[in-house]
Amino acid sequence: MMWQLANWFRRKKLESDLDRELHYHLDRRIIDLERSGLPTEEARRQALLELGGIAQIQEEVRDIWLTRWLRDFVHDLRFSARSILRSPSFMATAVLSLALGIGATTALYSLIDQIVLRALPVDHPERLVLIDWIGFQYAETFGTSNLMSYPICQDLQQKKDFFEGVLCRAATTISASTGGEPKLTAAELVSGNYFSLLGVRPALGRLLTTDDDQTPGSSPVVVLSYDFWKNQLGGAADIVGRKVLVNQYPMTVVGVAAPAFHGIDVGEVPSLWIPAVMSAQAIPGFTTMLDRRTRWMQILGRLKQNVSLQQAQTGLQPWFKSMLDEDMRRTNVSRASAEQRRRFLASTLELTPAPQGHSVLRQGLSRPLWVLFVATAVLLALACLNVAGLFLARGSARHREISTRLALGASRGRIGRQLLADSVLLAFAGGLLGVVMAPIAVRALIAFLPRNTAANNLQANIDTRLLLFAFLVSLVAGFLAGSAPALQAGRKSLDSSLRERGGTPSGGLALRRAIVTAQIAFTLILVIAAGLFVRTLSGLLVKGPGFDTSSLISFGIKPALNGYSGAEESRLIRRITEGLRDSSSIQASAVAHDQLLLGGAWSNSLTIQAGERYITDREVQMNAVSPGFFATLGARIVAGRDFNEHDALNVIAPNQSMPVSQTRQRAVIVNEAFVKRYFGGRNPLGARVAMGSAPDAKPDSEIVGVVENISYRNVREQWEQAYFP
Amino acid sequence: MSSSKFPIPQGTLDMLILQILSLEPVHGYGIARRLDQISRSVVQVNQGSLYPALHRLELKGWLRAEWKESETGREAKFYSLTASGRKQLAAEKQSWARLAGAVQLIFNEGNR
Repeated sequence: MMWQLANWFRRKKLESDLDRELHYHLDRRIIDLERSGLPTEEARRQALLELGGIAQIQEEVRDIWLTRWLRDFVHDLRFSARSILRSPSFMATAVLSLALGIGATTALYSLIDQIVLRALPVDHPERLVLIDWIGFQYAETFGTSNLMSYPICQDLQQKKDFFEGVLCRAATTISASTGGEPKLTAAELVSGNYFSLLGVRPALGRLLTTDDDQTPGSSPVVVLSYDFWKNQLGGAADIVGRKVLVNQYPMTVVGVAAPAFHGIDVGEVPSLWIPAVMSAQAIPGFTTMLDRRTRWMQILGRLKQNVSLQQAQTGLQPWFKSMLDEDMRRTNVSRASAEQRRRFLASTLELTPAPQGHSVLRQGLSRPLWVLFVATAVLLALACLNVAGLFLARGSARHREISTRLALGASRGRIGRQLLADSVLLAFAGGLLGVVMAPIAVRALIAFLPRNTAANNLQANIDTRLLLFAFLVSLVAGFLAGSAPALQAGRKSLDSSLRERGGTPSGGLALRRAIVTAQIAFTLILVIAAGLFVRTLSGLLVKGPGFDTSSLISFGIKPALNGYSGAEESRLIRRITEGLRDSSSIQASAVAHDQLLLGGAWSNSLTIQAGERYITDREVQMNAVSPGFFATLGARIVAGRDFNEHDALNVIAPNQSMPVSQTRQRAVIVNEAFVKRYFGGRNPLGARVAMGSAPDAKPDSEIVGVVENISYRNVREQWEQAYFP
Repeated sequence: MSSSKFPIPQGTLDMLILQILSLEPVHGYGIARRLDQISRSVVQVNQGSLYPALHRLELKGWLRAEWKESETGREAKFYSLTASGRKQLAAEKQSWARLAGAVQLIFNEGNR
């Protein structure tokens, strides 16, 4: 095969050689025959007769050089190119519709590849597993998904029978200053073995080790990402040993990670890595790293060479159960409610393959992406049908040409192949155009993704994988679009073709009808799906966030990241509020602990005391707001009252991520969804609640008001909410 | 004369070419002449199928071709056996012998 391909490129030389060879043979034969007494003319005649036709031998030898199909195929492609170029409007329509289909499919595939399919650039990603707690953890939650506590990670690191190692990590946002203005920067808090376990190499200096992850607060070191080092620090060669201020806390740069490594989350690329023991410095107010009742990290393990995921999962359950039992006897869990205890003890440990790392973005997007991918595949199928229809119409126009060729002895398969070559050629042209268009589409799609401080690592580049994909898709599209006309050409007999020669061709009507039917069906699917999307979208638009967003401006600050203490922060916020209140262009203003509609929420369980004491069965979204917050948003208080200045006297400092229960009397406002779920429509006013689910939590906050439902994390969700002053 | 000839069995042409070339490098016309000598006595070789066969064997790597001056002084394409061609010839001879032996055995069995 390789030889035959190579022969294609030196066919001129092969031809002339063969020619010489055959002529040598003929000439010698003629001379020999002449010697035996034949006249020259007769000798030549007989020599040629014996050889049996030079042209035929040449044909046969050529077939050996190139294999027949390859030769035919190249010939077909040339012929196709010529005939297609003769009808530019046909070409433009076909190429454009195929380019649209192939481009869209390639763009979606690019995103799916990057978000869902691609493995991390680390050693043996196939052995990475995500370790997750399925059930109820009885813990405070910081973060989005698959969270566990740091001590559990330490427990798992001892399970050397199953794992080569276990790492834990948490994404966070810090304020980093490298001399100039502090900037919000994405960081990853990691266990010391993070880099060695993943097999990442340093580009400069060293990476973190287990020595950097021993005692809380003892290792003020950071590793920079290659991009951060290049872009923010100009790739300074003397970076190792320099100080970076992380939330105004000085930490020493020990190294730069390899360029290809962007962390384990494709949706949130960290700029620096900090040892988990420095979490108190990296997350202001966070002091519960060693607490089993605080879940905030994702845990990933690397399975041992010959341990299967199933073996590890089964093998870990006995330890996990005994850990649960032991945990039960530890402080404060032992006094949890019977229901909570049951759910806690019923928890299991689950391992899932994680060669692509862990990504909240992936969890949220993989389904919509696949749905969109199917939609674009349908679009592509539609384009193929469209082109097939065009071909059939053109096939009728080319009827005479085809009949003539049939009459001249071309086999029907040969003509079918010729038509197939037409469509494959068009599909490749379309594919090429599609590949050019795909990055534009990918860029547009990436722009739709929610944006955080942490940039995502998605690119709109064309790589070999994508080219291969586009190539295969074009090939398939070409065959699909071309198979109908090719089949039709194959079916028709020479006889009928000749008979139809003068009149209009009648063949292929059924085929064309089938194609139109399929086109309508596919179009309907797309139109209906698009209609549903639009309906959902308009539904969300009509529903809105529950408050009036016109002329509403929201902004967030994180003074704690710049080293403000709680008191300083309160003073700063008071100054800002007073400034805003004095400004004539502002109608109303208010302060909240967490910004709305940014995707995040502060959630916790609540203990409710209303006659009997019970704990919310799922976490309640909470926010701390200033008096006038609801009025500023335009959200109605449906019962009771808003907070007043008196309630606000003992404000929770907004930087405190975990408000501690205070003994003083406080007020709380809940939303309608909360009343519906926990009071069943009864009057909630006067009932008392406590933050958290600890048994010693004192229900000292009185529900003073009920507000209508407003959106917190995003527009879709409607959740129980509680507001504190 | 031609009534006593039978067409060369399928696949044997390759073997005959290899056999002829196992003695010394020969050009196409030379091979044709040797084949002619054989065919005069027993089998009939179509000369037209000679060149395709030569090129097929060359592509398989059993033959090597080289332009050299021939006995008439004119350049001709000489074919010679490669190492793998020699191996192939040995293998074909062996399997031919086994086939012939087996057929003989069956005939003998029937004559008893």
